[in-house]
Amino acid sequence: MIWKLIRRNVAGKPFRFLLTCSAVTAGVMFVVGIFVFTDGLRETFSELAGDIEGNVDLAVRTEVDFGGDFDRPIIEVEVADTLREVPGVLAVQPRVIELGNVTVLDGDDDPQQGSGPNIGFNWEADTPNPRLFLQLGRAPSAPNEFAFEQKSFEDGNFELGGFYTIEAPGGVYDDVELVGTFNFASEDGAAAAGAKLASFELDWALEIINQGTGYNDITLVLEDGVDPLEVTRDIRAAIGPGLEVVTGQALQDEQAEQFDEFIGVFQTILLVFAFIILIVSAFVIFNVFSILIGQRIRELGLLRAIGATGRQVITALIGEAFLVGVFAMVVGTALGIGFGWTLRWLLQQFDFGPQGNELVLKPATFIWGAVIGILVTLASAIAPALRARHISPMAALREDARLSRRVPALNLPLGIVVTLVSWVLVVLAVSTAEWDVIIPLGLIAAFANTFGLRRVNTVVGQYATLAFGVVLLAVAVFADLDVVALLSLLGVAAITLFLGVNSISPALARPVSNFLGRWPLAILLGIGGVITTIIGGVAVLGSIALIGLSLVDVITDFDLAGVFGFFAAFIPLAASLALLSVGIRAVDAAFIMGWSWQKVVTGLAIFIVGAIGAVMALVGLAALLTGDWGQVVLLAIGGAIFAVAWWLRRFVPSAMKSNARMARENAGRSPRRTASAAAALMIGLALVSTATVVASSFKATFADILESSVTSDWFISPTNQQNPTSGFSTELADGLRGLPETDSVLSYQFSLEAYRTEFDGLVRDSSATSLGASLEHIDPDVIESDESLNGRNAIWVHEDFANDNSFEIGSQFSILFNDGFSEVVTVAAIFTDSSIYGNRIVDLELWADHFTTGIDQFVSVTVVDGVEVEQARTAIETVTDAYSQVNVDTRDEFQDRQEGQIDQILIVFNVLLLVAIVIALLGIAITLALSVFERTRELGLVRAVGMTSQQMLRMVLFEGAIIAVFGGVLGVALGTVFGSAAVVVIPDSFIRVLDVPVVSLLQYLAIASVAGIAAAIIPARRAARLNVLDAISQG
Amino acid sequence: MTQATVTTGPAARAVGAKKYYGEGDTEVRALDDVDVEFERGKFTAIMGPSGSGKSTLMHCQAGLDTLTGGQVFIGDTDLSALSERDLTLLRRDSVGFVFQAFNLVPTLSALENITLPMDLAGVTPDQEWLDEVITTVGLADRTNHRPNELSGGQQQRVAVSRALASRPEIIFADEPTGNLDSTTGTEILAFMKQAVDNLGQTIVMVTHDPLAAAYADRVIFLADGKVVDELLDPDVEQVLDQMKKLR
Repeated sequence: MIWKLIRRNVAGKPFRFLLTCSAVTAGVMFVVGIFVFTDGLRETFSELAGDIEGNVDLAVRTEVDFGGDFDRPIIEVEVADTLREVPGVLAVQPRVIELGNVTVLDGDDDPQQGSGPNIGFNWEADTPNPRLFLQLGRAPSAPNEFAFEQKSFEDGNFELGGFYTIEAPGGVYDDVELVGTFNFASEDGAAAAGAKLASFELDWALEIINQGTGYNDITLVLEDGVDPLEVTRDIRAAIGPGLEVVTGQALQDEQAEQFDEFIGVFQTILLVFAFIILIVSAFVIFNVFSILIGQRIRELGLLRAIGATGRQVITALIGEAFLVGVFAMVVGTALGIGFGWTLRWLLQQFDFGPQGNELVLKPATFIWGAVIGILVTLASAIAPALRARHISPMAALREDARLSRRVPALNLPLGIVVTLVSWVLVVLAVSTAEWDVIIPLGLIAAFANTFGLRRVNTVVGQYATLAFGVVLLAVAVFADLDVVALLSLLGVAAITLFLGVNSISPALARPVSNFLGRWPLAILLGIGGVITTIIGGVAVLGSIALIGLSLVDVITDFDLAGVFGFFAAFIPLAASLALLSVGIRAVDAAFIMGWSWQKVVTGLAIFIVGAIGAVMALVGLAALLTGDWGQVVLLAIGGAIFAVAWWLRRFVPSAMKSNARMARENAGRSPRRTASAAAALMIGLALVSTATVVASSFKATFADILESSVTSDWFISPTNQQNPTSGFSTELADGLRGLPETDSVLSYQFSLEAYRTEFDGLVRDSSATSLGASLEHIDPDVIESDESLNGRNAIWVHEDFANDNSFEIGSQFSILFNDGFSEVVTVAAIFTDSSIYGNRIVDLELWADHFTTGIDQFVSVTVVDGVEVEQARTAIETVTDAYSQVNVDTRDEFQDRQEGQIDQILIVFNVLLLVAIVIALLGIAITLALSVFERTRELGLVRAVGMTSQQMLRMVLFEGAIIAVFGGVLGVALGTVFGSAAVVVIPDSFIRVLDVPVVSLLQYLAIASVAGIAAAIIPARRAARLNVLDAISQG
Repeated sequence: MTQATVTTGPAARAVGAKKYYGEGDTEVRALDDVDVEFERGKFTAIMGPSGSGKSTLMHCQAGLDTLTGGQVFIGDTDLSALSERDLTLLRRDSVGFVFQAFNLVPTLSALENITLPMDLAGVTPDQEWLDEVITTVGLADRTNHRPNELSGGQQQRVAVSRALASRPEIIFADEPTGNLDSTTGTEILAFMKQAVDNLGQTIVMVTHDPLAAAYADRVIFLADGKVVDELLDPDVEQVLDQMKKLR
């Protein structure tokens, strides 16, 4: 019987059902898509590992006890000859490879750079199992010849037999002949993965990549039927110590493991975002179910009245949620598979990852789809459904029946015990300082604390979650633990604070919407709307131009791709038209106060003048605190401007039109609904704001370092800074040293696994530069030093490292490099600023004896007094022009470049969060649609007594904006707190200056207001098109 | 806005008004060629059995619904020639409404509900007139209350005040006492009569309650979409007799 009811409910209101499903479906789609995408990627990569290293039986290489292949010392050339003598060895193939710094310039002198690294290696002529497959021409067989990977050859301006420039660690080589093209690892060329691969004859590769010193490794193919173990034993006996023999399978596994690690990181990041999206979806589902049950109270009351038990009512509701979950699971999984496949296809279009797109569907993918679809839906629906149990049969008869919230019965002993337990849990969790203990235990403690305190005292219980979050935050900020533990504690605090703010935000909904739903929001909408309209308008013109161009393209040169492109060009047009209409609606909604445009302009002007005055006054006030008297005058001027604006404000109409007032009152009238509709957006914007505060502080830190510690005039850095091994030949710095304009030139090299400190056996990161001259360029706040100790075996150490190991000036200790040699170093200086060098700097002379890459990762230059900027630039560029992959920057340019990179990361981060924000907006749209539906009679009434449909439209739009900005204000406030806390927690060597970017955060609010308009458009149109007569005669 | 603009002719009239629903065999003639005039400054009641078309007549006459054929006028304005937006503005400026129930916006106070149409029009209410209306209705001390803080009778009085406040050409009342007990209902009716007699307001009321109809200056009887009879200055007995005939 109950099932029949459930079925009828779903079938009877298909639109409502789909609306309810949309949010979960989107969440499932995203998670399933991530699994499909990363599983496919993993599959292709593991095949690739086999292709890359599957052609050898054994390999000989130097043995290292730490450090990756990047830093593995080379193996002497003679070893190859020794190996050839070993019985059972069929072929010996030495390998030379550079994984990043071999760049080919094409016929237009454009450096070839794909989405992968620029790799150079030797042509493998000696192996019977080739992994390089010649496509055109022949293999390189002499110096000054190279072969290029087939696809890269097609992408650039190349022709076979042409002469091109190649940059390698050994220097820049002009007039290198392109003798052939090849595919790597597989015949069909699927494995290049966006990397640019250049191959050279072995001896020449040895010269230009490893400066003739030796091979990276030597691979062997054995004769048929010999026992690899026996051969291995013979090889071990033949070669000296410090070398190791590994099987081809081991190489393959290492390669696969590296790929796996990379994909794993990728997958984790994506899943974190998927998790955020799921939380947001859960909020939306919870809200929708609460509203739906609220709307159906009379119906449910009737069920009770005719004899349904409370349990049957719950069964009916949960059954409906179950159907929603099943629908979301099925549709979401199907869409997710398509989404994952499309993502992979898109990335292939940009040469990201190897070609090949098998659809890998693992059981885990479907299990996650089901778990998320059904469990998240049920979990979100269960609380509202349980509340429905308490609906009395009388509800059927009353007009204004409402769901009551159940307040747990007080139980003092239980409450106190549970609360105490929760505190013990927190102390335990924090004392372990392990992130994987802190996160689960902290969350359990947070729930236990709320559970306990709600049973101790109702009022206290209401604020328990929030207070607990504040305490956790304070612990994270003030405790002295390791960074990962503190950040995970911060994460727990953030989740607790979200829940805490969410539990009290209904109380905030009324006052906040009361304050916002007046001219501040109208002005925010005005500014945001005008900007959105302009952007939308420009985008529309642009997309029309695009359509025109592609039409011309189709007409002049008809082909299928052109037709496809022509129709594809309508997608940006549709998107920009949508943007334009949102902008216009936002501006329109700003007129809700009954303003004429003159009044809006006046209001805006006064608002902006006032804001300028306020900012000036605040800057002046801050100056007063820091004692910067030059700025204090701003306080007076800003204050005066602000006062004038405040006085002028009286000419801005303060009386509000009824529809504005009604919009505001509507937002405040069911505060719980407004709060939970806004909660999803709050989470999204909080995360965006957190990232923005952290990024902005990072930039400020960088600026601060440049300002206070760096005195160089010029900075030379590799263009591809994402790759940690990127750099350029040491010859560049030598060239600069020869210029009369330069005063001093400093080279820098870094490694994350540089050497082992032998007193404790730990592998350390380290920098290296010429210590004696370095203070002219960078001062890491040296507190003690003895310059006479600077030299090949000097080391500078950070204060903490010195204190931990009781080092002082003149202390000596030995360090073991991964080439197996130890050196004794002497502490020559102790410094306090670890932000540039990290904790240890050794001399480049010492470093160069153990690292043979010949790659500088960074160079700084000071110029001779009196040399003008442009004069210096011209001089430096005479040297650097030979290198295509370097940036030459002044201090300001360097700062801009670094900030640009931080901004790029921030943009990627925000784009990933966009999905969560879109789902949050979907939630607002659903809430508004349901609330319009619920208020049909009221809307009909106001239409009957004279509200125009335009006024109705504005009213609902404004309500959407209020809800969105309410969520936005909470989110931005929380995000600022989280971001600031994170900046405090993150060590000073990364971020030491807190910078809260007020303008960006205000922009987010303006965007939130406009986004609220976007979410409200469909419900608002439904409201505006309401048939008056039907509406008032309804019910 | 001011009622002095048109002083001659009826406040509202219908000429050959037709409203059909459905087609062919299932056609229902809710209004079948109705001609009727509502005199200025009079209290007119429309009566008739269920399905007689009395509500349809009021809805069309008030610009809430459109006719299938014929014309309706408010003053000299032909409603059938107006766009949806102009109809809305006409309702706002020239027509007042009192419904049976759900007359007030729950989020607005009593006073805000009263001034709602003027507020929507962006017009400052005539404070003296507003005070007079509110005092007459006896709501002076309750203007800041929300509807849910008012009794049913008080809510209806607020609704009547709203209708009066903008001094419309005509007020339409749809069963204004239908949801009230008889004492409160009588109070409202007396007040409406007073508005007509003392303030010169024109009111048209749809009702099926003979007691209510007896307050009117004139009662029009509808049956099957046609005007079948009318009474001037009726008493309860006359109305009852007439209704019995119609059944």
